[in-house]
Amino acid sequence: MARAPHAPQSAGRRVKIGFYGRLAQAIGPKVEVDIPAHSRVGDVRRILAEKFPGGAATLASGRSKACVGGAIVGDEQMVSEGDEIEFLPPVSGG
Amino acid sequence: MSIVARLEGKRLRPDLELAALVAEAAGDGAVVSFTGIARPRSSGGEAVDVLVLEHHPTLTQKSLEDIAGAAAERFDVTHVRVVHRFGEVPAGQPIVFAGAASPHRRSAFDAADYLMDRLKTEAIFWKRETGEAGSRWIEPTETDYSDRERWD
Repeated sequence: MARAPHAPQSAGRRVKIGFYGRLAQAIGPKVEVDIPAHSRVGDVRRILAEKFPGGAATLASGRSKACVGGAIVGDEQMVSEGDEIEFLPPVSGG
Repeated sequence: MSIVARLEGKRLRPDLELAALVAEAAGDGAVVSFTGIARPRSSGGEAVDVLVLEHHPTLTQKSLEDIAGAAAERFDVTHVRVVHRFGEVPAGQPIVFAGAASPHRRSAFDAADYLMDRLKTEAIFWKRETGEAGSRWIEPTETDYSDRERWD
C-alpha cells in the first residue's frame, strides 16, 4: 500500500552517501539515509553497516576512509546539514 | 625542479615518459624509473584479461600530487614524474610509471622506491581483476603495507 515515504523527523536529517570500489558494488554508488541530529561520521558508518550488511566488514575496516567536502576526515567529525559523505574502501594503486 | 603527476585514461607509454624525464634531466647524473604492468595471472594463478582501476573525481589526482611532491621534498632529486592509468587496462599493458632524476644515483633509486611504496598503498584507486575466475577486488598485501612503513 502506498504511503508517505518518510515520517517527519524533527531531530533527524537525511544525508547523501557515496561509495567506491567494493563498497559501491555491495551497496550501490549512492544512497540517502536518515541519521539522528548531532551524528558523527563514525555513527553514520555504524548506521550504514547495520542497514547494508554486505558492506559491513569493509566499512568496519580501519583502512576504509571517509571523505566530507573533498577532504578525508576522521570518525569524530560532526555531520552537518547538507554534507555529502563518501566512504572509500582500502585503496590500491600501482 | 619539476614535478609531473598525471592521470592517464588511455594507453600509458613508459618509453615516452622516460624520454621526457631524461630530457628534463639533461643536467643531472641519474634517472631511475619503474613501470608497473598489469599481470596476466591472478595471485591464485587464474588468467586475468583486464585490470579495472576505478578512481575518485578529485582525490585521486590530489593523491598523486601529494606523493610526487613528498618525494621531491624528501630526496635530493631534481625531477619527479608519476603517471598512473585509470579505467580498463588489458593484461600486459602498463599501469604506472614512476621516475626520478638526481645528480647522483642513490637519491634517484630511493625516490623511485618511495614513490612506488606510497602509490601501492595510498594512491586513491580501487583495482579489480576480471578474467577466468570472474571479477575480484585487489587490495595491498601486508608486505605492501610494511614496505610503506619503512619510510615513516
